[in-house]
Order: sequence, then C-alpha cells, then structure tokens
Amino acid sequence: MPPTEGYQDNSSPSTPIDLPTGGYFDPTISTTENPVEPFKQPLKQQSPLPEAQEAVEKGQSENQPTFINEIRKLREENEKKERREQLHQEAVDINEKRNEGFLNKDIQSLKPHTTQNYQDFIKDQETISKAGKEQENDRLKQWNKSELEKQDRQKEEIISKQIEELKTKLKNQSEVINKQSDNLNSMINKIEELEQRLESIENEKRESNTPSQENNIQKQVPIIKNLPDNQYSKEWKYEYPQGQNPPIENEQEQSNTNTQVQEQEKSETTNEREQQLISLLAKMLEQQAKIEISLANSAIIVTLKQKPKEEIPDKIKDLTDLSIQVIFEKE
Amino acid sequence: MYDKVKEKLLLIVKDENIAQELLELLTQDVYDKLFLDLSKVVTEVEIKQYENRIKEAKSIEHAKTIIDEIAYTIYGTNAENELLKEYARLISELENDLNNAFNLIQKAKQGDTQAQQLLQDTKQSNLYQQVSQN
Repeated sequence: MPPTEGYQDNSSPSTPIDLPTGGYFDPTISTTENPVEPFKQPLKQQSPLPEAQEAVEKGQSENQPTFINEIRKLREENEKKERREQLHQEAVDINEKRNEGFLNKDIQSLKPHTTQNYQDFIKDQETISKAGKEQENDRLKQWNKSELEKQDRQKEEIISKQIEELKTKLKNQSEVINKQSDNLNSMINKIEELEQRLESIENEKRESNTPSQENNIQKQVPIIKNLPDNQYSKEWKYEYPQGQNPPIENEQEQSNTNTQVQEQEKSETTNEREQQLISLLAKMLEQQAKIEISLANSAIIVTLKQKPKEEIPDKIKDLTDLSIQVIFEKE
Repeated sequence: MYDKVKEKLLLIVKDENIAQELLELLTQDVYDKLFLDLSKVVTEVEIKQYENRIKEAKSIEHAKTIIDEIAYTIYGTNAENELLKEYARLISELENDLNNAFNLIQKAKQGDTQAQQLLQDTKQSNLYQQVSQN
C-alpha cells in the first residue's frame, strides 16, 4: 500500500532535494534551477528531518519485507478472518433464531391443512378415476353389446344359410336314397324269389334223380349262338353224346309238358295286346339276362300260357282301348 | 298316379320307351278290371254315357278326370289307392313272369331236357310265329 503522507520522487533518490526555506511561496523566484511543482508542496510546514527519516524507514520497510511486516500482515489477515467469521456466525445465529420460529409456526399450522388437501386430492382423483372407469366400462359394455348383437346376427345368418343348404342337400340325398331303396327292395324281392325257386328246383332234382341216371347220362351243355330269329328255330338244337337218345326223366312230367303244349295250341288265337306284352317282356328279358330274343320270346310264351286269364267282354275291351287311346294319345 | 307307376316301372325296366309301352299295357289290364267292376254297379246306358264323355274329352287331363270319376263311383274315396294296388299286383306278376322265363332258359342251358323240349315246341307254335313276325 503506498504511503499517503507526502510525496517522494523516487526517480533520482541520490539527488538532494532543495527545499524552500521561507514560509510562503514567492512566485518571482525563479524555479528553473530547482523546479518544484507548486501543488506538490505540503500545506503544513514540517521539520525536514523526521519526515525524511520516516520516509527512509518506510521506503526500506516496503521495499524490503521484514519479519515485522510479515507479522503485521498475518495479524491483519487474522483479524479480518476472525471478524468475518464472527459476523458470519452472528448472521447464522440470527437466521436460525428467525427461521426456527417461523418454521415451527408454519409447519404446525400448515401440516393438517396440507394433509387434508392431499387426502382430498387423493379422494378427488379416486372419484374421478372411478367415474372415468365407470364411464369407460359403460361405453365398452355398450360397444360390446352392439358388437355381440351384430356378431350374433351374422352368425345366425350364416347358420340359417348353412341349414338351408343342408336341407336342400338332405332333400336331394333323401330322394336318391328313396330311389335306391326302391331298387334295393325290388332286387331283394327278386333274390328271395330266385332263392325259393332254386330251393324248389334242388328239391325236385333230389326227388327225381336216381344214381343210375346220374351215372348213365352225360349231358353236354349247348352253346347258344346269336342267330336271327328265323334261323334260330331251325338251327338251334341240343347236342347229345353219340349213341344216346334224349332221356325220359319222368313220365308224369312228360305228360304235364304235353298237356301244357296242348293248352298253348288251344289258346293260340290270341289278340294283339297279348302279343305286344310277350314281345315287350321278351325285350326286357333279352336286355336283363343278355340272351337271344327268340329264346326270350319262347320262354315268355310258355310262362304266360301257364296262367289262366279272366274273360273280358268285347264291350269292355272296346271301352278300355278307347280310354287308352285318349289318355296316351295313341293314333 | 300314372307318373308314380311309370317311376316304379323304370326302376325295373331301366328303359324309358319300354317303361312307357309297359305302362300302357298294364293300364289296359287295369281299365279292363275298372270297367268290368263298373258294369257290375251301373247300367249299360250309363256305361255308354261314360264312353261318350271319354270320346268327347277336350284334353288328356279331362279324360283322366272322367276315369277318376268312374273309379270314385266304384271304389269311393279310396279310388286311387285301389288303382295303385292293381298296378302293383300286375307289376309283381310281370316280375314273376320274367323270373320264371329266365329260370326256364337257365334250365335249358344247363341241359334240362324238359325245358329244352318246351322251348323248342313253343318255337313251332303259331303264337311264336305271330310274335316273332311282329
């Protein structure tokens, strides 16, 4: 820190300072020899010796740090530090005292109010969230209900369509099944009849055949060829082994055969209706059994001629023919 | 009714034309019986009236209606069933006849002399000649 007392030009310390002797300032005196600025002149006249000595001491002490200066500085710093700490402590104490009263008072007064608010806040939140949830639930329920109803309607439509399809399928299938069952029934009936016939034939054979006949007669099964009807009657012939005549199996059966042929001859004056029936049945037999039409014709004739038929008066026959002509549009 | 009978015949015959011919032939027999029964319950004059009505029928359906009326006169409300029964009986007879004929042929093929003789004799009959010519 620079000295505040007096001014010292340190530029030329070796040059002696020519101080004025008088007690006042004479402007007439030339200052060219020892120029001194007037404003640097001390207002109070002091003895030049102690000032100079002090200046020397000061100059020495500032320019050259000594132990005393060090002590002095440390002391000053310690004083300042202590002062600051003291002031700080005083401020802290004041603050503590002030804050302590304030906090005690406010916390006690604010605590219940804050808790209540918080509880109210929580309650409000719960109420809001509950109401919101209920509203959302209602909305979802409504949506679910409508959506479920929509889905139910769609399902019902699909199911009704499927039911209709199944009904039509079932109907078609039932028709087919009915037809097939009719076919099956007719086939079963035929089979049953054939079985009965087979049994009766076997029984007849057992009764009629004797061991001697079985041993003596060796039959040769004829091969029936596809021949036109006119040729067929002439050329079809059963072939027996050489040296054998057609066997006479049973005299009674032979006589029956003869009577049947006689009956046929008697009733040969047949009408067109019967001829049509014979030829039609022969066609059916030909188709179903894969046999010649001539053979079928003759077999059908034999079969039909074995049955007695009710006599129908001509008047009734005429009425029938007329009705058939009208209903079936026959020309 | 006729359609039902034709369906049954088709199941046996498997041929539309043959079924139709067969239906007509069977209907002849059914009508024979129908008119025969009619003659037992009405007079000849009434039969003649029916005949005239059938002759003058305006359509097939009209003619069928007259036949139905005759059947109703004879059999009452059960008329259609009676006619169907008659058809069923005739169809059953036909099936039996066909089976009998088939069995006869089988017998002949297997060497039954009686069957062979029977068939051979039949082929020499007048009826066979008439049928075969047709």
